[in-house]
Amino acid sequence: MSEEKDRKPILEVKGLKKYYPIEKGLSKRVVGYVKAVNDVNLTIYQNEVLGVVGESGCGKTTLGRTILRLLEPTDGKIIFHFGDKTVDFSALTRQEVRDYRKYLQMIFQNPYTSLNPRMTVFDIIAEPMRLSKAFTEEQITERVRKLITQVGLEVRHLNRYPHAFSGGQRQRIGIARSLAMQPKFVVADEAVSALDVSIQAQILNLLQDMKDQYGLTYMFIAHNLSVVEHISDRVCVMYLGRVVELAETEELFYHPRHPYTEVLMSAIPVADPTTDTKRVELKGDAGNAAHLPSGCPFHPRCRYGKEICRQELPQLREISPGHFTACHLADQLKLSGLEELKLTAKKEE
Amino acid sequence: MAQEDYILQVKNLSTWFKLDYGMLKAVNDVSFSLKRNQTLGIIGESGCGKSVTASSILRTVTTPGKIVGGQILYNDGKKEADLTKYKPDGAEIRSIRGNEISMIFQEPMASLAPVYTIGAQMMEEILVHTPKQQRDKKKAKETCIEMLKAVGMPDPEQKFNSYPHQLSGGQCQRAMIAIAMVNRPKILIADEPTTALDVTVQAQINDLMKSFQKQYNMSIIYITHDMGVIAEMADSIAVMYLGRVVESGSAVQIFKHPVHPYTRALLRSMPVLGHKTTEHLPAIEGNVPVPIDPPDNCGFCTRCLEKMEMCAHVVPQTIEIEPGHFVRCHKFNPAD
Repeated sequence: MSEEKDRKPILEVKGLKKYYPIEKGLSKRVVGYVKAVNDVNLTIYQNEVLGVVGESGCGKTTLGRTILRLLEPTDGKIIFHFGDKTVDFSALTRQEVRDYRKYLQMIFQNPYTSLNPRMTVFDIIAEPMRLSKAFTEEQITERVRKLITQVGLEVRHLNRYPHAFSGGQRQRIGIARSLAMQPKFVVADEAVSALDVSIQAQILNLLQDMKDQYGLTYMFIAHNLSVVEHISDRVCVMYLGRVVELAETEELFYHPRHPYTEVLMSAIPVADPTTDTKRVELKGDAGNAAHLPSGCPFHPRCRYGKEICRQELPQLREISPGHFTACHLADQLKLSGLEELKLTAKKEE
Repeated sequence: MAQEDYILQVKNLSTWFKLDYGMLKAVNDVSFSLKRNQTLGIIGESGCGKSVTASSILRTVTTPGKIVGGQILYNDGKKEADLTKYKPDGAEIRSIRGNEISMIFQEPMASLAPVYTIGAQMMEEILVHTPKQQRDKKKAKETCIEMLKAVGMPDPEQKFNSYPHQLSGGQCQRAMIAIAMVNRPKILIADEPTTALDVTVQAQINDLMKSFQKQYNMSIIYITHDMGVIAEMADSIAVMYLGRVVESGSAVQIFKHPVHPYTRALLRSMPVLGHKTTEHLPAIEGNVPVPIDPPDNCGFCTRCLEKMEMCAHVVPQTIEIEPGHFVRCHKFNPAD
């Protein structure tokens, strides 16, 4: 679905930054910044799933929240295209943002803490519609009943409270709530990470169904790479607040062009005991966004690091059509993808 | 039958929790064996009883939980002892716990004591297991720092005096492993040791455990819900569902020739790397029930696609369908 030339972007992110000040002392003197999201440029096309991966602290959650302006960006532009309308989302006042909230939704990681325990399921799903004041109570009732069956629960569940449901069921309720206002763009932040394997598959299927039915676009943030590979059309790899690689899913998994992606690929455990993995070692501990290294943020841990990597910050560039990488050496390196890393033994016992 | 060299054999173990509203049969007639110097993977979803199995072995089940039946036979190479016979706070089990059988836990940040330094927690482990007269703090400290080096901790001398909050998640898990390994245990029980960690750190921690296993001739029980991790780590696998082991065998048998409907459904339902499709994943419908006063049936019968008439009211027996490959399902019972 990605070969079509006439793909329309739904979201363009330009030079997005989110810095948190580090304050010290009584006077709250600012002594530095945690650069959680650092100059991110992204385009997300309509009706696609963009997977975002990276280790904890790389800024993937902050990126998702800043795009929805749940966090205020420090700098940069967020431009949404809803149909023919183009909105400079980052320039809106907080009051104006509210008018567009209905197009944007979020599905949260922890189904146990993201639902209000004192509200019934009905009220949880109805709340966004009530707040919008655009629906009568009858319309709301009708729509809630439709949504709850769409996500695989029953109308009789509507009068219960969240505690009566299992994790998977709660995640379904969260999905129903996020779909109530017929959004166009949904950020799913680790939406299946807290669920059991067998339930995870149910929710992934549900997310796909909802996408087809409502023509949604997802930004799918996750750390489980097998899940990301399954659901995403394109994948974006982040490291220390920056996008280091962005490509179509298969291209990225089989032909990575950034050393960090190669490390990630080699670390994925494969559910096959006859597969041997060639492990690419990763030096040191995860970097700290408060004390960024000079040059390429990955260079202290990179096994290919050269002098230029220590001095100059590599920019994200298109190395082959649709494949972006931020590595000085991308043209010279021959990195291993899944095929080279996961060696399936010929013999079977 | 004792041809094989088993270091631990669990036979018909049942650990039940007596609650106000019924009996929670967390572990119900569970049997498996751990071969010396090998890794046994226990896999299952939350609530299937895998963690209670681990605490039963170490005798750390807390009230109202109780081991109500079965044996845990531990063979240290000289003699065989049944751990269920020991008092949970008695001298016998305390000389084994943390010494010959150690455990590492899921959340490294939460399982280390926050008010003691890493060093203090390691030293305690050594000193508690040496007789009073032979305690030598200086030597113990050397051993600890050596161990911290062995687990790949940066700056071991400095980290010895650090508190857990000063370490990252991966470093905490390394510290936990160092604490668990410091007495060179014969069995290491790892309960979801990498679930809270990043993939790259997960790979490092698992490689570390493998290298320790070789170095110190250690046997590992690796508990997880991640099929990928278990395939990398385990020699043999026990699949648990609702308090029972439904299938067990070698890793190849379980992954390549699974027979129990649950194992097969579980393997089908996960996204497999390199087999990207736009099609639906064959998910297992329904939810995992809670085993409070469970009826006498096959626990999986509520979600099983191959369910038969008898599954709803007869507990299936465990059958060996090929050497070393056990399954608990009516489909394979010749007597039925």
